[in-house]
Amino acid sequence: MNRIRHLPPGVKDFLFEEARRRRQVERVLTALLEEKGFQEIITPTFEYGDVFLTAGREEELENGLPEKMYRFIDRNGQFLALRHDFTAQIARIAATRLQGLATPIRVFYSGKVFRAEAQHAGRSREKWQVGFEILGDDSLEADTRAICTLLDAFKALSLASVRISLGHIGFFHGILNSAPELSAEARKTIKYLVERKDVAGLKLFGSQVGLAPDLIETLAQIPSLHGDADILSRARAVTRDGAAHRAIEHLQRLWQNISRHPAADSVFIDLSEVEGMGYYTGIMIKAFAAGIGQEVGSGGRYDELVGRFGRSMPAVGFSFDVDFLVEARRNGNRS
Amino acid sequence: MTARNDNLDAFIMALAKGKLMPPALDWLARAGFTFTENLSQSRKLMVPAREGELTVLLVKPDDVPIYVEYGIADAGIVGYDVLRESEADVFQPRALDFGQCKMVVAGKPEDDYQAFRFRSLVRVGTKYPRIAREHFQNRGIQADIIALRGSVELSVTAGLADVIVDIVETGTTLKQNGLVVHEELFASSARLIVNKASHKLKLNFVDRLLGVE
Repeated sequence: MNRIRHLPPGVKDFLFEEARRRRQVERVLTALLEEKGFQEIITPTFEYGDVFLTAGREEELENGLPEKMYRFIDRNGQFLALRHDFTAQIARIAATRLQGLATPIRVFYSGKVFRAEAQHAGRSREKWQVGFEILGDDSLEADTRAICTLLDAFKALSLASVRISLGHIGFFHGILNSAPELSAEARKTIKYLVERKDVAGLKLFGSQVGLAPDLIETLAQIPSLHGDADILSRARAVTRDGAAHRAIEHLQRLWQNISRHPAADSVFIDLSEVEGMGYYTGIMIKAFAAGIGQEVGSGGRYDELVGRFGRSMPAVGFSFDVDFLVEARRNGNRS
Repeated sequence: MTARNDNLDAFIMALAKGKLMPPALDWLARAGFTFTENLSQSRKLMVPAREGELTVLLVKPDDVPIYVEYGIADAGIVGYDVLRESEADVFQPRALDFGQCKMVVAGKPEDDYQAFRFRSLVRVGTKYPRIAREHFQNRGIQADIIALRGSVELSVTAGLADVIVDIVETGTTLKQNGLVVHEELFASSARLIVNKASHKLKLNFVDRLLGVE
């Protein structure tokens, strides 16, 4: 095979206009973040692979994460990996060089992450992300600021038809915690079925492994728990778990805070969204734009991630997918 | 660039030509959408509903998950067998009460299927190579998965394969070819599938479809 005239799957060259559009999106986002008091961090393109394995612990347990990492052994026999996740790198830095600074610390980044995605549905293996993190602040205000920042970003990008879904992983975890007897394998299957909103699959699996009928009924309700704040009272009725109720209350207060933002009507609550980085511990955010069949950005709260690197620090963050944003703007989705 | 589905007031649905079409149209009628022409016989590929709002794309069954995953169609109706084989990353919020069938391993009646695990290699003829591969891998059996486009039963009768992995509705085709079911893998029926972004961007419409009995 001739390997000097074409590219491997999952990577692209961007020429002229396509490059210009990407730089433009990057400039709009980074200018906004600087204006809002975020400072840039430039991280290395590769580092010790253990950093990404530590951040991806849940994925590693579930799927043996390393399969999606671009990893290699350098001349000295060290295990290295290409940047798999910016947040892992920021967490490493937060646990070391950012200790002792006045909090909250607001940072942003722009660059590529490398993930060996399956060759499926045109997935990229190199993704350009611009993202931000608010470190050292576990308050409701930090979550509010994170969401308002991304709403401002979509406005700055002149994207009109955008929807932000807001969930909380504590709701799902709370429901599962009421069934401590579940094996890790069963939890993994249940999470997968909830991610796919596969109600029929949940009921079938539940009866196959002998889950309590009321737990099956609760799980089967999760996929339809989406809408405005009214959905939260319905959610409260499906479970008695304390952690799940705390998650609902948090969302309730967050919803009130956000409602003052001019773009608040693009936000809605979706408690069925449980798919995301395994290190999320609180709110989970996904952004969608008309004409793009997948999320154009995602984020959430991760209060325990930094601690895995030695010193704990609560945090919330979000990252935008530059390629999808460019595509959304091209599709005439401009306000 | 592909044609883009970026009008939030229009909903596009992918339907498969073939057996699932008549019950799928009945289901859409219950959702309040009808068509001026008979879609099973239509040569058109894009047909708007009489009531507006909804447009149907008529594609091959295997292509339904593809159109939905890419977001060209917001939703689709497809058999669970095809969906599972596609590995498409889509929501599947509703099992529908038509298109029932079973995914099975079938072969010659004289074969001792339980003894297949002592073979060094099992040859499998199938239209569902991913499902078949996963099934035999889970059992630790080395299988030569032979991907075929049709007449799968022939692969066993003609000696190309030891067994087939295929769907069975009534079992008539198997019987006609002198084959028997060795093992049932899973039950399948039609599924309503929804693109992950459409689920958020067109939530009201999705909820309306989910409310159909």
